[in-house]
Amino acid sequence: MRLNAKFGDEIVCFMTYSLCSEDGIGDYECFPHKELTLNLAALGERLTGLGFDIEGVNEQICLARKGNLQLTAFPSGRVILEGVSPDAPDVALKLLADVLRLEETRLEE
Amino acid sequence: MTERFSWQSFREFFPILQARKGIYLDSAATTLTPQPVIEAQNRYYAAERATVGRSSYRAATAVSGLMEQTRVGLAQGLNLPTDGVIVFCAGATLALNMVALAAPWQPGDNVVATLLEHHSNLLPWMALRSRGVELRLARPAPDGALAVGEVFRWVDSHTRAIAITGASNVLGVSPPVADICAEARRRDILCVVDGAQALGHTAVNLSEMGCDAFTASAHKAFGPTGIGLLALSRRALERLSPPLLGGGMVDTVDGDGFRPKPAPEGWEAGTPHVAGAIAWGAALPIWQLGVSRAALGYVDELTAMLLDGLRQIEGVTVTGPAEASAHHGIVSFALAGMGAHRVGAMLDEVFGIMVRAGQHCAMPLHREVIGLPRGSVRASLAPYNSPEEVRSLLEAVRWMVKASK
Repeated sequence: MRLNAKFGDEIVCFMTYSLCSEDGIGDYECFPHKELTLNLAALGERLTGLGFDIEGVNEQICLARKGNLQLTAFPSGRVILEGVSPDAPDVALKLLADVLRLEETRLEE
Repeated sequence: MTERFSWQSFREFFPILQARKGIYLDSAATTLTPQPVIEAQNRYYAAERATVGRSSYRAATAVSGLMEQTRVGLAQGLNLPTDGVIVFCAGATLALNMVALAAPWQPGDNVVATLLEHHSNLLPWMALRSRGVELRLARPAPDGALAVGEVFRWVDSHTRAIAITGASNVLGVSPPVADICAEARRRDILCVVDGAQALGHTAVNLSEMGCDAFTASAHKAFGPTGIGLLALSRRALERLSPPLLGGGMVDTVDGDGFRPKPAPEGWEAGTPHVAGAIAWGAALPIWQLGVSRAALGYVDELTAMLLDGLRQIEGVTVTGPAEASAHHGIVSFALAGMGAHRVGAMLDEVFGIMVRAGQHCAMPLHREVIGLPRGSVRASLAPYNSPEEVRSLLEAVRWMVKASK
């Protein structure tokens, strides 16, 4: 499954891989079709606003947690979501859209 | 005394170690490719291209000869019994599926496998349920140790095959395969060994192992992707029928049916991966060096360094047996409070270290044996890895544990 969305001024296609599925909880890797330049400090602030606890953030990595959901983001736009429930790729991509504040989103099989 | 092994010299075979930045610790997934293999594959496409076995020109005869050289080299390297054959196929996964499809199953039959298995040595047997065949799973100890008696606890008069790994792709541990095969033979049960992990990380001796079917992939033993082998014993050839049908594998065809050629040709329907077979031949001397006593001893030293280092870090759970030599270069671990994928991605993005994260196609093992249902981080070593690379991994793990507090 993929998500086409507006990120800043450009349309970016985010793809997702299921990494693990166990007892209705999934782990997903999401990544854009080309490398982005995420401002991880700003991402950390946005995640705090969304109810995440920030476990660590610097220029290389952003670690956050909300309940059983663990988020790991890198400047390239690669995001690991562990503990996605319900376990479905569209749920992971919608979470990604919220976290990265993506606009004009469109899910594709 | 251990013969010294020069990892520096071995490393020079692998151009990618100069061309790409980063530390490669994922050799259980796929080993890197030595220069002679790249050259052999390129030479085939650039200068030798022809198909094998069915053309009347010298170029075809020449590549047929090269492909057969690989088969002979593998037979020698694996010490294949003289009445056994090596069948080329796409890899260990296909080979295991071929065996599962090749047996004359009857409803009520059963197959005994173990919870150590990779999905490739579970799913083909599981799928036989639709034909009334039961899959039974023997349980190893939490460190992966498997007793022969535990396997045969599941065996009864309806057991037709025992399917077992030669080395676990998660724990590295090797079950007592030769003892299991000997007992299976005594009870007239076929013994199938998934050698995908064993081929590149242990010294395989099929005559000593005594299995009926042994499966492996070239890419896990310094060879190219897309080609593997199925080694079959005489007993297996008598009981199994070629599961894949098509060109090149028949002696005669008429309106009523066909008669397959003897193995290996009868088991190799269609045009084989000629380039892969020839390139695999170029990998054989490097593979034999990589599984020499000296090289395996060196990998054991690296493994011991990694195990000792990880065990000293608070919050790290290390799986598998206590002794380093039983790991065959594979160390799977978990960090308290951090998902395996987070650890794997951080090792890559922050430290440039390539490892595997997840369940490594062994969900039952993670869930039911080692107690890490959401997966582990696996570092796997090869003779081209350096002590410095292991130290870098340990440093990175220490940093992550400290940063997460």
